[in-house]
Amino acid sequence: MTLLSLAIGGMLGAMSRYVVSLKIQGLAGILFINWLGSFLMGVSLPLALHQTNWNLFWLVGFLGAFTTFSTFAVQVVECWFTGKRQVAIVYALSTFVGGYLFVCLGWWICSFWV
Amino acid sequence: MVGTLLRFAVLVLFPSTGLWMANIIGSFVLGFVFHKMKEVKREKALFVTTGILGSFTTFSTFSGEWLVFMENSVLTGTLYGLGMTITCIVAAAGGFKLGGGLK
Repeated sequence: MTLLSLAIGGMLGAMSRYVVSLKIQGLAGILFINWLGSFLMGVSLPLALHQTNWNLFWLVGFLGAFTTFSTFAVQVVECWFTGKRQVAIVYALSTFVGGYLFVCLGWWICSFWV
Repeated sequence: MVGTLLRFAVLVLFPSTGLWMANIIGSFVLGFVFHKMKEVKREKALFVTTGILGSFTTFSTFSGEWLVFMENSVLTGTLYGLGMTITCIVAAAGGFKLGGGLK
């Protein structure tokens, strides 16, 4: 059940990321995905108490696979080496600062209920 | 699915450093294959890049951990957040250069 929860969550997360990245192409799509994933992580963390199958499915599987660090890092590098250095810096900073603000926002909103 | 299961295996084997390993290795490898992926079929490239490597690395677990670190100490939290971001970009740049990059 452990591996099944993970595998299904991971598969759905990766497929959702693919669908979003088709709708919102380029840097904006991955930025949106990482911001949304961080927000949902912030909302989910206060609710996640035990190492249940749900946590594995949702936190490690779905949200883990929906968000991505490698695509973000390579996009920054690609922009940098193609001469779009300002874009690279703005994109890296937006992901960095926004990722933290959105996880905090999610956590803050959820703390009203929990 | 494959990337997620691999990430889980790394996290179980190395509980404290697993996330760093997954994100750094994944970023390096994605940078490394960047050039090669232009020569293979779209389906194969998607499987490797968006599929395996995209799912192997994660941003949400990182931002979740970052939040917890910040709650304990702003200094540790800031160092953690900056450290992960900079290390992964440097790893991606290293892989990008070694793998032929824009050639």
